[in-house]
This record gives sequence, structure tokens and C-alpha cells, in this order.
Amino acid sequence: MNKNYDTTLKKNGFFSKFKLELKLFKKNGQLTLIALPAIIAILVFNYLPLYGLILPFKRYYPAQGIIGSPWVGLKNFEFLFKTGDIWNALGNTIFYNLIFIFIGTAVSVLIALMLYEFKNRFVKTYQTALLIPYFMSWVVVAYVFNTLLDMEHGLFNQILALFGKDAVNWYNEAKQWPAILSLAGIWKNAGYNAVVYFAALMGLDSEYFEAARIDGASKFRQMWSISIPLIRSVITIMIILNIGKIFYGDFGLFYNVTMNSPLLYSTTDIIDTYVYRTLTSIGDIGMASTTGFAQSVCGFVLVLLTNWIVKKKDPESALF
Amino acid sequence: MKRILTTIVSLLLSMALVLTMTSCGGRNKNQENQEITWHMMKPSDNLSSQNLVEEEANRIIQEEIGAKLKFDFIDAGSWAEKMNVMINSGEEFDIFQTSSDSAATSIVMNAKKGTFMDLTELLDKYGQDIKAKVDPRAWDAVTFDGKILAIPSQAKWVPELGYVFKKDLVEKYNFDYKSVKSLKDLEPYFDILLENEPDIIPAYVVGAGNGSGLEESYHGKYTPCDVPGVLFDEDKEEFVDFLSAKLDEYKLKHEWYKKGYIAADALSRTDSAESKTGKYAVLTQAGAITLDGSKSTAVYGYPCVEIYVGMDKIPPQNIMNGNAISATCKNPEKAMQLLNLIWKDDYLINTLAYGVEGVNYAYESGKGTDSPTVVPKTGSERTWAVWHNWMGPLWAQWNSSWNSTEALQEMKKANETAEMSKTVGVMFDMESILTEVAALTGVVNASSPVLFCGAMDDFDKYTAEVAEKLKEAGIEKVLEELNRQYQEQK
Repeated sequence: MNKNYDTTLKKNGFFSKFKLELKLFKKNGQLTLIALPAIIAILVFNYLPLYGLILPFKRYYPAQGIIGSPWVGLKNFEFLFKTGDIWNALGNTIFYNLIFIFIGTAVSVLIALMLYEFKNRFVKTYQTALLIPYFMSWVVVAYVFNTLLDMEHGLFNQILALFGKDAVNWYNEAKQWPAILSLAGIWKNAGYNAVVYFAALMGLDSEYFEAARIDGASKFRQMWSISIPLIRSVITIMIILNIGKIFYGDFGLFYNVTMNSPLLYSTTDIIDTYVYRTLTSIGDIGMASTTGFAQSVCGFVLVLLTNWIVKKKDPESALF
Repeated sequence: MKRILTTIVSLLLSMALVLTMTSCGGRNKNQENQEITWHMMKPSDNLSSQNLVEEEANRIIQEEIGAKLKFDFIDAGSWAEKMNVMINSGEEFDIFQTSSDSAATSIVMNAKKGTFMDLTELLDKYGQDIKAKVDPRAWDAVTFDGKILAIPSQAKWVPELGYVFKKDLVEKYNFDYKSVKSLKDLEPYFDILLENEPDIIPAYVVGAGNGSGLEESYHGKYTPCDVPGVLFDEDKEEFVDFLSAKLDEYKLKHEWYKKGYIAADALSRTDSAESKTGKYAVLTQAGAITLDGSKSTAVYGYPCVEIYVGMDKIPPQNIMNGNAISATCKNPEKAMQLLNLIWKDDYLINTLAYGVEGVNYAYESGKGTDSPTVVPKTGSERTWAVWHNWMGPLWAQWNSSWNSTEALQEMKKANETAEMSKTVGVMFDMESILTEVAALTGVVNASSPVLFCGAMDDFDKYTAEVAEKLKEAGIEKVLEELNRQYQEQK
């Protein structure tokens, strides 16, 4: 039908396009009706607030409201670039997100494959155990890590002491933190993401695997040549979606787990923590909204770009 | 099918009806008996007596002015965030505490935004008891463009610095703590402690907030407006940047850090209860300074002795701690009448401060007189607490273990005799330097705990970096602008 639609569109002009749309709408009227609550919810919660996008360009006075406040052009963006700190934060944000996207995804897929292969009665137990970290608050996780990293009582330093080594002041040494934070982020989210891939694997036709077994393919061969290729499009979509969020960092992770220690900022400061630190007390909505604006515009462009590349290489896996 | 549909429709309709009815009911009730909300920082976790206290207070308030008071306590940690949201979304609220500790509700940061209601006329009309009791010099500090924006509280205005010593240690090593005048004088004592007391950390200097613990006496330099990173030099009458003003102190701290006077992980010791662990030998005062050590002993939980290190002129922000009425308040007259009643009625302010008799406090003597002595419940039995020194009339509060009349009178006298800073009455306008102020906030928040604890690797390199960042953030423009505004208005 899609093809039909396209050719009709090419043959005739705008009017017939409208007519066709109307016909399609009538045909799918009942389905649209079912989707209506969701459509309204999206309109109200995702599109209606879009007028707030003018906030970054205004000096906001609460008494005058969003519309009434005066325009200030790009002045609100200036604070971001005053000191060089934003570039460090930007670099860190992208660095950690790339790690989470690539290594994180690899770990999640691996977990999903293992769950799928060990089809036994313990699967539920494994799944639950893997999911628990996802539901823990970062504040709690921060103290879990604190019991490992504390200077006096931390597990790591006590192990170091056993080998006669000096205690490390973890919260003062920036160079250790890319590893610690990557580990923390992946540990917390891997289980949850694995569920998505696990669900995709569960939907696969078992005949492929039966045929492979008859031909004598090993477990690893089956994973590599059947499971992974078949869930490739799910993996690609998840990656595209995550690339859209590449300029956002998980505030909870970077603020709490590091105990907001200022000596670590060179490797742990991300855009969100930088903006929090800078604007938390001033409370200027105009300035605060600039970052969200920039983050989402850049993310939007990146999603379009990635999707375009994917579409060129492999149209089936593209998001739209 | 049709029946189901009718049922659903009638259900929805009746729900809508109930909703409109309840909202109507709420409105009617409000007109008869207006509820005035009071937003305040939460001083203690257990406030289970709140309803009882409000009930007791409202007995008086209702009779006198026909309104009801309702406290809304917000955790100090989320105060800035929540008040910012309320202010920026234009939410209706009535009285709120203004505090220079938090720029979210500070007068300087909000004056131009129109967050505060102009109280000038309201005070003339309904606030006679307030006007009679507030120190007349204080109004200058809360007046912006000729409008009075807040009511200053009676509180300790004079900035004081005291050092607190753990009593068993000064006695054990027979240290002449009374001769200490500055941080440097503590060093011989610290050396003894390092040698003989492996479990004791000599100096209480930690990264909580933007650094808290031992510091040098004030040198007549402090921040009279809410711009981070700048200090006002009272002698030279000009603004200077904090780094060059405090460089010597920071350098000393770094030496201390290297010598081990300060904990190696001081920067990540951010728990407010850290001072109560008893691991430190020398700390700073716990609120007020009591030369017999009673205040610090009570707060820190182990025997302490205290000394008085320095005091200074009264900076404007110490006066700006008070209460304001929001511009979105629907009943400013009632709110002002309520505030006036609190300043007028001694029983009311003491009920708000101490709670309800029998539940929160007991009379020790003088029951029924104007100035009784009371014993407030403590520990787990304490179910009511309020920032009683930010509510308004502090001198009228009854004698008790934590609020002795003698101490209050001394505080009052100190306030009256101390000199006001030259910046009192100068209202700084941040509009033209907001970008720089934001950038400075970022730099100061990132560097001041490190400087305070001396926890950097290389002092010269680190301070040079901070100086460079301050410059990039536009400190020169800020200093120039503030100096210009000071010269114009002084």
C-alpha cells in the first residue's frame, strides 16, 4: 500500500494527496480512535509545552510571565562559554555516553544471550538479580560505592593494606574515575537493557536453531550467526535512540557516586552537573533552559544524522 | 453496550460535579477564614507536634485577626530548588523566610524580579508593633528603590568567630588555649597532638557546604551582596576578589593539609554530623559563642571549651534574614496583620518558638507571668522546633536552657553597640552582570572547598588556575560594576 500511495502522490497533486489521506483516515478511523487517548496525552505533555522553547531567549520575570518577559537574544547562552569548563564537561559527557552506548550495549546483549541460552528454571532468578541495580536510587548506590572507596574503612583500601600498599584517596584522584563511573553506569543499567534484547530473542523462530543444531553448529556459532543477526535491528534502534541522548548525562550517577568531589571534575564533570553547580543558587530560568535547549537540538540533529546513515547502509534497521 | 456507555458517561458527570463542588467549598471556606501559609526551612526532622502548635496559635490568631496560620516546612537542602520553582512558576504563597544563605530567596537576587511584595504601606497601616520593635537602622538594609521588601528579624547580627577545643585534650596537654589569637597559634598544639594522639585529627576543616571549619578571623572583609567570589574591604571601601584576599589563609591550610593537621580525605567529609564524632581537637563555634563552653558542649555532645577570636561590623546580609510577603499573596493585609500580631503578642511568639505546654515544654517558674522560665523537651521527646531567631521578635522569647534571657540581652546589646558596615543601605543591582555572576558561581563552587581544605596537589599551580578562571568568568567586570554602584549610593 505504501508503494501505491507514493505513486498516486507522484501522479497527482496536493489535492488528491489530501483525498487519499482522508480515505486512509476513514478506513483506519476505529484504530485512530483507540489511539486517541495516547495522541492527546502526547499533544498535551510533549507538544503543548514546546512554547517554552522561547524561554532561553528571554530574561524571565515571574510577574510578567513567559510571554510578557523581555527578549534578550543569545545573552542567556553566554554564561556557558565564559570559562573553558564547559568544553571539559562536554568532552566527558560524550566520552561516557560512547562507553555506555558501545560497551554497555555489548554487555547487555551478552547478558541477554546468556539468559536465552541457559533456558532453565533459574532464568527468573537471574533476571531479577540483574534488574535490582536498575531500581536502586543513585543516592543509595553512591553509598554502596562509598563502602568500597572510603579512605579509612573502604574495602579497596583495606585490600591494598593487606598487600602493604598505601591507601589511595579515591575521592581526590581524578584519573581513576573514568573506570569507576563506567563500571557503575554499566552495572546499574545492563540488566534493564538486557531485558529488551532478551525479549527480542524470545520472539525468534526456534526453527532456525533446530536447523543449525541438525547441521552440527556449536552454541557459539548459533549465537554469532543466528541470534545476533536476527536482533540486529533492535540493537540498531536502541543505539540510535541513545545517540539522541548523547549530550545528556545521568545526573544522579555523576553527582552522587563522585560525592560531588571538586577535585574529580576534570574527569567526572558533565554538562548537567556543570549547569547545576553554576545555576543552582541563582535560579534564573532563562539561563537554565538554554542548556536543555542546546542539548535537545544537538541530540535531534544527531538522531536524524545517524538514522540517515543507517538508512543508507541497511534500510531495514532504520528508525524511520 | 449502550447501557455501559450511559453508565460511564453518568459516572464521569458525577465525578465532575463532585470535583466542582469540592473546589467551590474550598473557596467559600477560604473567604470566611483565610489561611496564611508561612514557608520556612525545616530545622528538625521530627515536627510531629506541628498540628497541635498551629491549633494553639490559631486560637489566638483567629480571635484577633480572623485568619489561620499554616507552616510549610522545606528541607534546607531542597529549599533553593523548591522556592525557585514556586517563585518562577508564579505560585500563590504568603509569608516566606528570606535568607541571604540562599540566593533563591535573597532580597538582592529577587528585588528586580518582583518576587517580594512592597511592604511600605502595609507596615504603616498594620505594622505598628513591628515598627516599634525593629532596630531603626535595619530598615536601610531591606529597602530597595524606596520599597521595604522584608521585615528584619531580631537575631545575632554581629559576625563573631570562636574556636572550640575538646576539653579532655587541652587539659591532658595543658595547652594554654586562651592565648590563641589566630590559626598560626594553634600549630604547636597540633604538633603535640600529631605525635601523641594517632586517633585524633587536629583541625576540624571539612568540605561540607563550600568548606566549613576553622578559619581566620574576618579582617573586615566579607560579602555584602550575594555575588560569590567577591568580598568587600571595609577599610579600603572597595570590592576585592576572594582569592587574593584570602590567599595567605589558603596557603596556611595547604601546609596544614600536607602536615596532616587536616584529614587527608577532608574534602569528601561532607556529613553535617562530622563535627559530632569527637575525632577533632579544635573546631569552630556551634552557632553562638559561650565562653564557658556550654553551647558547643550541648551541640557537639562532648565537653568543650571555647574562645572568642574576633568580631566585626554588621554586614547587611545578617540583617536581611527575616520574613517577606510574596508578590503573589492574595491577602497581604491579613499576612501583615499576622506578622504584626507575632511581634505584638508575647504568648503567641513563645508558643510558636516553644510549642504547647505539657507536650513540648514545661514551666520551671513564673507560670502566668510575662517572663517565665521554661524547660523544653529534648532529644527524642522533642517534637517541635522552629527557626525561632528568624521568626521576628527574639528578645521577647522566654528564658530556657537554649535561649537564656541573659544571652539574648547580651546579643541585643552587642547589636545595638556594634557598628554597621558601610554597605548597609547600598542595594546592589545584579541585572547587568548576571552572566558573570553565574559563571563566577560555577568557579567558586568548584574551587572554594578545595581551597578551604587545602587539598590540592600543587598550591601555586592550583591557585593560578583558579585566578585564571575567575578572570575568564568576568570578575573584573563584576568588581568594577559593584564598586561603581557602591560609590554612587554610599
